[in-house]
Amino acid sequence: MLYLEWVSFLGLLGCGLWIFLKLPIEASQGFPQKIMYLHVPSVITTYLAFFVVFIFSIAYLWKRELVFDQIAKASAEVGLVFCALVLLTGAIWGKPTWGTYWVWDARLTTTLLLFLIFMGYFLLRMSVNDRDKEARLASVLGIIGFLDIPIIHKSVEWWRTLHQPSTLFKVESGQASPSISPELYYPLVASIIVMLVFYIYLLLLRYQTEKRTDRLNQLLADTQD
Amino acid sequence: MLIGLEYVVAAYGIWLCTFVCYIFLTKRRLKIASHAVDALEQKNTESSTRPQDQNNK
Repeated sequence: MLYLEWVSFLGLLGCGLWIFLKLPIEASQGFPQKIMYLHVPSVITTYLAFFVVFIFSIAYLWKRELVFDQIAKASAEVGLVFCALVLLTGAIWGKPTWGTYWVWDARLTTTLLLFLIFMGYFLLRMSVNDRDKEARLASVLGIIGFLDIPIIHKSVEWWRTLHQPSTLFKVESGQASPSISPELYYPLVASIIVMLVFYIYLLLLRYQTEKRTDRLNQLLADTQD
Repeated sequence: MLIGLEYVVAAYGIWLCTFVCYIFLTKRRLKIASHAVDALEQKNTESSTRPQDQNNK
């Protein structure tokens, strides 16, 4: 755990130094393009975090083991923080490039919807006292919430949007062909890998907290009995 | 002077501050929960061994 903490911190620092000291300033967007190395990895981490919620919610409904719900809850919280940062960094990047912080564009609106669904996920958890019922209802919402992610990803193709189409996952004639120069592509891939390691660290930290909190609630309930 | 520097500083600053606060609060929650669990487990162990000790006497 401590090892993972230091690997992610040093990785983030290394990526930061690479982005700010080694990379040239991009010609069309200028200096604000540097936000891409924060925004895009945060988006991919959000997708992964909610995918983990989806998988472990299904696992909980199938096996009814609390550990699956604890992992889903931990991942949902980390994912929600990343999702909020995606919206914030996207809005800040939008101002110098689009001239506005926010537009009711399909990509932005569906991302906001994802954030609101997972806010609801935690409100639901807080409103139910029975732990098993809480886990059951939250698992259903976690599965439904994840279904928004393919819509977010495809929104730039399905609707006319201000948001640019996919650059990293661009597919041409059945083959992946990212529309980004290699000079900008490799630091972006490095940032994504480091951000995913950072997510794993946060997930483990949050899962330990969840496990301890559940144990505490169980002990308190036993004491009251 | 770099054009758009303030946007980059704002984005990276918000991101960094959010995670510094999040990690600090999560670690504090973990520490508090761990202390409480340890204390309750110790209390439970003491209360379960005490009647046995009295019987032995």
